[in-house]
Amino acid sequence: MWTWFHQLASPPHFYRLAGIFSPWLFWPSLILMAIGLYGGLVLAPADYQQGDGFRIIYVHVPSAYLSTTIYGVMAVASGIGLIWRIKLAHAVAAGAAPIGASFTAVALVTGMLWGKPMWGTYWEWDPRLTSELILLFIYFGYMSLRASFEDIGKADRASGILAVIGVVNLPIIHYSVIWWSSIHQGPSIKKLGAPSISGDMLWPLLLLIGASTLFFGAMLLYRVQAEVLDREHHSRWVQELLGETPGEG
Amino acid sequence: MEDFLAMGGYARFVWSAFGLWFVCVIFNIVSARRRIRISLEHASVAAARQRVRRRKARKKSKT
Repeated sequence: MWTWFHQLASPPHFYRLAGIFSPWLFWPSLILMAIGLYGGLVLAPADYQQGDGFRIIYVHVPSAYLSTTIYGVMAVASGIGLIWRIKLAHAVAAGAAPIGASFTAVALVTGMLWGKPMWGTYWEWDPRLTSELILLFIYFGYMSLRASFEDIGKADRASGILAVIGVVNLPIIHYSVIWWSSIHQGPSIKKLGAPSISGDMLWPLLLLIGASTLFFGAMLLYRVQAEVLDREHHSRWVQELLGETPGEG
Repeated sequence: MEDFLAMGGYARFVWSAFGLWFVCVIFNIVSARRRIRISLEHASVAAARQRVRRRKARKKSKT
């Protein structure tokens, strides 16, 4: 187990594995996404209260789910990087941030697009909405903090600490609809108990959540490959790699 | 078809939301590929520099 872990954490090994696995995540994610979107837009029946407006959840829920999941990945990777001084873990965190930020922005805007016809307003300073907006700012803070350092090692440490501290926002986002009287509705899919949404509306949503997870995996592998190259460009294996495949990419 | 596009009067909101998702997916793909390309270019520049440095060092050791 440990030798396997050490091997995985070695940059050249990871770089090679990422190159092998990324297409296997990327193409299935696009195919499943297409099926899920078709199911959500065409096959699922209109909601009896919200009509066709409810279909926004098929992009809102997966992006909101990614926004917090990716932050979780980023914070755990940063923690591992800080405690065990594993460079690859910092590379994972750095690669995850822009993906997370983009989906957080989508979650916020699609939520606003749903809010206008349903609540009558694009924005309300509600606990769920506000904590999600703070998440977006933490992502931006993380990325600009990284960009402000010339030295990658220093950037890793400083931004890693920020990522770990920012994790307190995750339970606030998750429980905001339960702790405070929020305008945002409660969860439709629960880990325990039956979902409060019918089957023909549910499957495209679950499919899209799965597809977006695979998509994140593929994008993360691409970006971590780039991060690894930046950190290792003086090492022998990168130069050998470039010698064998000049000008590829 | 027209009914489908009208989205029961929610067309503006539904299509904007799905359009945004689509833009986000494309943006992620393009920016990740670009990120790798830039890193590969940087690495090959570093490799070329190192080669030049090594050659110079070899010349110096000969003279």
